[in-house]
Amino acid sequence: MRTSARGPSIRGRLLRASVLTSGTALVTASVAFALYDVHESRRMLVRRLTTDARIIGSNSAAALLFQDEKAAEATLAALRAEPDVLSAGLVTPDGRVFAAYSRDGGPVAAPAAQPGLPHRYEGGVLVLFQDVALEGSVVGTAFIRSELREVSQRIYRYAGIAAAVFLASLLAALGIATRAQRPIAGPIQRLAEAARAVSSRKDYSVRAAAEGEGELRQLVDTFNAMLAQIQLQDEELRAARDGLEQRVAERTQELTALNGELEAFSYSVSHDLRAPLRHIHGFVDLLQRRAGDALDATGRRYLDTIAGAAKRMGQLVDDLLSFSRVGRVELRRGRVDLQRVVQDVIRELREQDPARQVVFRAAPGLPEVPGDPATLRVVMGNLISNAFKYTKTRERAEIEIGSKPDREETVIYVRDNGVGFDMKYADKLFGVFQRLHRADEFEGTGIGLATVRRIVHRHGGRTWAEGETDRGATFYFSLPLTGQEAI
Amino acid sequence: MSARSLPRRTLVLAALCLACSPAAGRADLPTEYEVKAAYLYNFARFVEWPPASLPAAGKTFVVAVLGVDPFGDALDATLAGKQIMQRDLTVRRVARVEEAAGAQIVFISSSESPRLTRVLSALAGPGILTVGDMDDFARQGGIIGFRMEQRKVRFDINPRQAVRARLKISSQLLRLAQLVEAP
Repeated sequence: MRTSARGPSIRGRLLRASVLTSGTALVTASVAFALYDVHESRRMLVRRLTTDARIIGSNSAAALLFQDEKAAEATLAALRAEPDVLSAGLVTPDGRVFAAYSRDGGPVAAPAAQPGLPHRYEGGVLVLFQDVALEGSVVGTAFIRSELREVSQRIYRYAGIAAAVFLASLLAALGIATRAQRPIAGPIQRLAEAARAVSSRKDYSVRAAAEGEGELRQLVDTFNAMLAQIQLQDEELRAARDGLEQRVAERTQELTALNGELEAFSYSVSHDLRAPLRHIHGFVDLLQRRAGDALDATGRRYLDTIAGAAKRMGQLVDDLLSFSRVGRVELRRGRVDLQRVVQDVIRELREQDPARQVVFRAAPGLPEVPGDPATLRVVMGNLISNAFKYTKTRERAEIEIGSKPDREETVIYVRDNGVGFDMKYADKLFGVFQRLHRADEFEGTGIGLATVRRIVHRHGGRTWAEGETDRGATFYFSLPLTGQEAI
Repeated sequence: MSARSLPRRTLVLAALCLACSPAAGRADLPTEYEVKAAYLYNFARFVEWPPASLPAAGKTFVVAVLGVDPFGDALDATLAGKQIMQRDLTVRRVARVEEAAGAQIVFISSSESPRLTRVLSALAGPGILTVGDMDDFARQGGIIGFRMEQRKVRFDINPRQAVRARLKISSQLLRLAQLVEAP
C-alpha cells in the first residue's frame, strides 16, 4: 500500500474500513453466539442431568423402599455413560447416603440440598437434586455432581470454529473489499498521480483517465476541465510573453538603428558646420582688423556681435560633437583618482577667472573609482564649472565636492550656494538644450548636464539633482563599485 | 435378575431409613415384623390390581392376616392413615382361609405351613396378592414369599402366579426380588 507523508493511501483506508467493519460485526456476532451457546449448553446439561436424575429416581424408588443398595447402585452405575458426572447418589429423607456412584470410585458425601434450588454451581461443578417420589410421597432424593467439561469443550470448539470462520470471513472481506475499493480508490489514486505529475513537471497537457462513476467521475472531469483551462491560459500567457519579447527586441533594434542614424547625422552636421563657422570667424576677424577703423561705432558693434555669435556657435558645435562622441567612443577601463581630477578642474577654473572669489571645499577622502578617465574628467569638469558659473552672482561663492560610499556604488556630489533651481524642473535638467536660465544671464549651451548623464549612464550609474530657487543646488551621480559599463 | 447372595447391610441400618416405618422414630431397633409390615405396605405400592378386584369406591382396601398373627400391633401402626389406590386400609385377622374372601392382600402366617397347598388353592382367584411368611412359599404357588438373608428381609416372587392372579407387579419390585417358579 502506497503511503504518503500525510498518512496511508485512500486504498489502505478503504480496505481498513471495510475489514474493520466486517471484523467488528463478526466479533460481535461470535461473542453473542458464544454467550448464548454457553448459556444454552448449560441449560441443556442441566436438563439432561435432571432427566437422568429423574430416571434414576423413578427406578430407585423400590430399591429405596426395600433397602436394596445393590439395585440402587446398579441403577446409578448407568451414569457411567455421562463422562462428566463426578458422583451421584440417593439420599434417604433423613439425609443418609443410601447408594452412590463415583467416577473415580472414591467415597461420596451427600451435598446439602437447598429447598427450591434444584441445581447450583460450586466452583465449576454442577450440583443437581431430584426428589424420588412414589405416588406423591417423597421417598428420597437423587443428586448428581457433574463437571462442566462438556460446556467448556463446547466453548473451546466454538472458539475454534469462530476463529476459523473469523479468519475465513476476514480473508473474504479483504478480497471483496480489495475488489470493491478498486473503482473508488483507483480513480482517486490516478487523479492524485496526475495532479503530482502536473505540479512537478508543470505539464498542463496531462489528463487524468476518465473513469469511475458518479461523484468520482465528476471529480475527474472537473479536474481535467480545470487542467484544460490552465493549459489554455498558460499557452496564451506564453504566446503573449513571446510576442512581447519579440516586439521589444524589434523595437530596440529599430531604436538602436534610429539612434545610430541620428548620432551619425548630428555628428556630421556638427562636423560640417565647423568649416563654414571657421570661415565666418576668420573673415570677421580679418574684417575687424582691416576695416575696423573705417566703421563707425554701430558697424563695429555689429561686427562684434557677429564674432560673438560665431564664437558661441563654435562652442555649441564643439559641445555637440563632444556629446555625440561620448555616446560613441569606446570607454577604457581604468582607475580614476577623483581627488586629482577635482584639483585639476579647480585649478583650471581659477586660471580662467582669477578675479572670482570662490571657496572650494573638496573633501580629502574622494575615492578612486573604476571607470574611463577621460570621460569621468568631463563629468567632474562639467559639474564643477556649472557650480562655478551659477554662483557668479554670489558675493561669497561656496562649492563643495564630496562622496558617499555605499555598499554597491559610490555617490559623488557637487553642491553650491548658487541660484539653484525649481525642483519641478529637476528631471529636465539633464536633457539636451534644457536651460532653466536665460543665455544672456549665464552663458552655456545646455549640453553639459546631458553629456554628464550620458557618461554616467554608460558607466552603469545614475544622475539626479536637488535644489531650491536662490538657495543653491546639489548634483549627484553614482558609479557602481564593480565598474560595470552600460553599452 | 441379579443374584441376592452379596452381603447386605444390617437390618438395623435398613430399618432406620424406612419412611413409613413406625420404628423409624424409635430409639430401639426395628424388629423383623416391623420391617415386614412396612414391606407389606410397600408391595401394595408396586402392584396393580385388576379393576374388577378392587373394592368399590368408599370401601376399604383389605389386608388379611391368616393364621397366627406375628405382627402384634406393628401392622396396624404401619398401615394407619395410609392409602392404596385412593382407598383406606384395614387389617382383618382371620383363622380360616374362607374368611379371607374379599381381601386384596392375604398375609399367610408360618402357622399355615402344614395346610399351605389347600390355602393357596383356596386363594387362587384373581385379584388376591398372597404374601407368605415361610421359606419356598413362592415356589409352592404363592406370589411373594418373605425370606431372611443374612439377617435382612428379602423376598421371592413367582411371576407366573402373579400373572395367574391378574396382578401386575412393577418391574422395579421384580428387579429387587429373587424370581422363582413352581416346580
